Amino acid sequence: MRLLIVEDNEHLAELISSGLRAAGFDIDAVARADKALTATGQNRFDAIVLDLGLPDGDGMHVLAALRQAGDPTPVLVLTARDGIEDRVLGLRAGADDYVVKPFALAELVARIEALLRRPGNLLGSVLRLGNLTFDTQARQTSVDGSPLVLSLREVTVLELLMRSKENVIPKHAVEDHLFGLEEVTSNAAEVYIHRLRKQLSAAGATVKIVTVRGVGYIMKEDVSC
Amino acid sequence: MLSFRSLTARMTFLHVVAILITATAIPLVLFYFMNAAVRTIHEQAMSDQAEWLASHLSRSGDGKIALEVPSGLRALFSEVYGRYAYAVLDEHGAPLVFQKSYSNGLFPAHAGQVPSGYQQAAAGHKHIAGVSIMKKVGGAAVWVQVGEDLNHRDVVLDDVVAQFLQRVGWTAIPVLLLLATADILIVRNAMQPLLRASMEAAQISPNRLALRLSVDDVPSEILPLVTSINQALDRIEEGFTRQREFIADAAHELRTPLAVLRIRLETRTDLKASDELFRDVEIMSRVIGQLLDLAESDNAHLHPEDTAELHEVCSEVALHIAPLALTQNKTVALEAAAAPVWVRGNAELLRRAVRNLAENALRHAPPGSAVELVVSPDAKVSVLDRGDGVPPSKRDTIFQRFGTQNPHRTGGAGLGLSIVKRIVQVHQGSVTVTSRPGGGSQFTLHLIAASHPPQEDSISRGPRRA
Repeated sequence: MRLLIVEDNEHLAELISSGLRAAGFDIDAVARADKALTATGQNRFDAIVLDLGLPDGDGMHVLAALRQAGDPTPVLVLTARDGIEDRVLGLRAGADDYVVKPFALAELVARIEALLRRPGNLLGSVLRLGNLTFDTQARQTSVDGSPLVLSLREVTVLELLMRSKENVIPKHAVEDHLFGLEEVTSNAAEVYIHRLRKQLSAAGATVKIVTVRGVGYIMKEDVSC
Repeated sequence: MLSFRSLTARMTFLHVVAILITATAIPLVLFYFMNAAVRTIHEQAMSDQAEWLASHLSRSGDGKIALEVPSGLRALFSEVYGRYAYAVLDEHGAPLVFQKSYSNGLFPAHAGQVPSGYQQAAAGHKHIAGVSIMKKVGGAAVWVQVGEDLNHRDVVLDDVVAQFLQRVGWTAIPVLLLLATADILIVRNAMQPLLRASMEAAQISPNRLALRLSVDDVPSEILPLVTSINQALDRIEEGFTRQREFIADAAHELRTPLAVLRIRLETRTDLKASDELFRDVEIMSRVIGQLLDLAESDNAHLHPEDTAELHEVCSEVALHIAPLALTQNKTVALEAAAAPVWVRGNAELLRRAVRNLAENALRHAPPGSAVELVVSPDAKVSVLDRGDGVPPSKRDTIFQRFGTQNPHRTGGAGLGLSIVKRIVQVHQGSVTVTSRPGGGSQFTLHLIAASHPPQEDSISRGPRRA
């Protein structure tokens, strides 16, 4: 997988490049808008990491020129600006994602992975939290190595919660995943969360599902166990 | 010297003074002219009588001068009647013909010089006014003097003068009062453009610097002032804009080195206490983010058609801060009615306001407690915590820039609440802080309900957070 980094700050460019190389990518780095266009004209990249503030012009122009030329390469915009309009303008101009400085390298890698539609590659196909593991390929759940048998819908909820890592899953997202476009009763999500909690706790899993009232659910490692 | 703060009062006062002066001067001048006219008429009448008397003088052969007063006029000149008097003097002032009361003539000679022309003289209780003219009678020069006692004179002329003045007075006073009233109205009318300009000027503030005083209908005398003020506002606005841009630029410029610092910390595992360093970077990022938020909310303008849905705004905020709350052993809860609550406003700006309130509440919430976001159907959002609360004396200052309750507290730059305040100002709403029963604070945003849910629009609703 080959990435183009367009970043004029040489320290940042170097740090990002080495971080992404460590994550298994081939990296080309340029510091100017015109060089970015030359590079994309001559080579095919799997994704472009584009800084918006460049010495010879706005990165947004590079993006617009790429899209005008019909180049579909996924572009992740790096920016110091996160104004009300900036985000909208960036996404409208054809950016696929948006990362505001300063950012964690791990977050950048995760976002690029997501852009390249390789979910889980970096994390491995086995999701882990506490003594709970979930193999996304085999769709197998285990606690402390012993398999745990769950219903299809319980597995759906479990995977959603484990994939989201540090984020809260809105209640309506749980419902959407469980029932698609079907009409649901107001406590349908709550019912499956409740069942899953019981199953996990019965199996001795060191995780807990926290309800954020009015918002959704998040799975956390239960350090009290 | 009287000094008036009000231009209207000053102009009215000066007008009243002018009217009083005019009201006094006009009768005086009229009185003077009428008296002069009366005197001229009197002199003419007296001269005519003197000429007429002279025509009745005769000189006998021994040089004696005799006066034959026609019988028809004897009564008029009689001493009993006393109004008119006459005398005839010789060249040197020696009386030739006279009445008993005036043995030296009406206007006696001084040092052999007989006065000539219109004369006035006092004789006892009488005030004689008349003429003394020289005539030749049979070759000899004589002085003929005719006078009238002004204390008893024909009253017709004086009455005319007195009556005229009275009439002038009674007519002039209402006219002058009317004039004074008209003056006040004229002055007030003339002040209107100035009042309008001041009302426009009162609207201008650092947050509303684009406003200018209108130059339509401004009188040419005031136009230079209005134009100069507008030009001064142009320069001030430019200065403000440059300063805001500088803040935004400075914050942007700081973000790239901060990104470098953060990634260096991430990749250097040998650094001790790197958790603390990470937290420091987080704090710096937050402060820079708030500076940018502040610079941007200062420049924010609301489109009249912008609407936002409070439930969605609050649930984005709750999703965003819940993970942080959980790591601090605190929770976040959202309470909202099922029906959407639409308000006038920009969803992204409102999200920032609620987020700043929620982050503020989270910093003050004790472990184990919840930060609650409550959406009310009457276009209100409340953020509640169980912290120490805000003492009433601090309730105004906490919304000032860098006006945090505790300057030593880490994590907050003291900008969050001023961002909230600025954003509600843009939304023509307000933010209040009260104490909760049982401890803690309740911050409430009061917004303006929007009557119509708008079309789905990515700009007015702002970008959604994943």
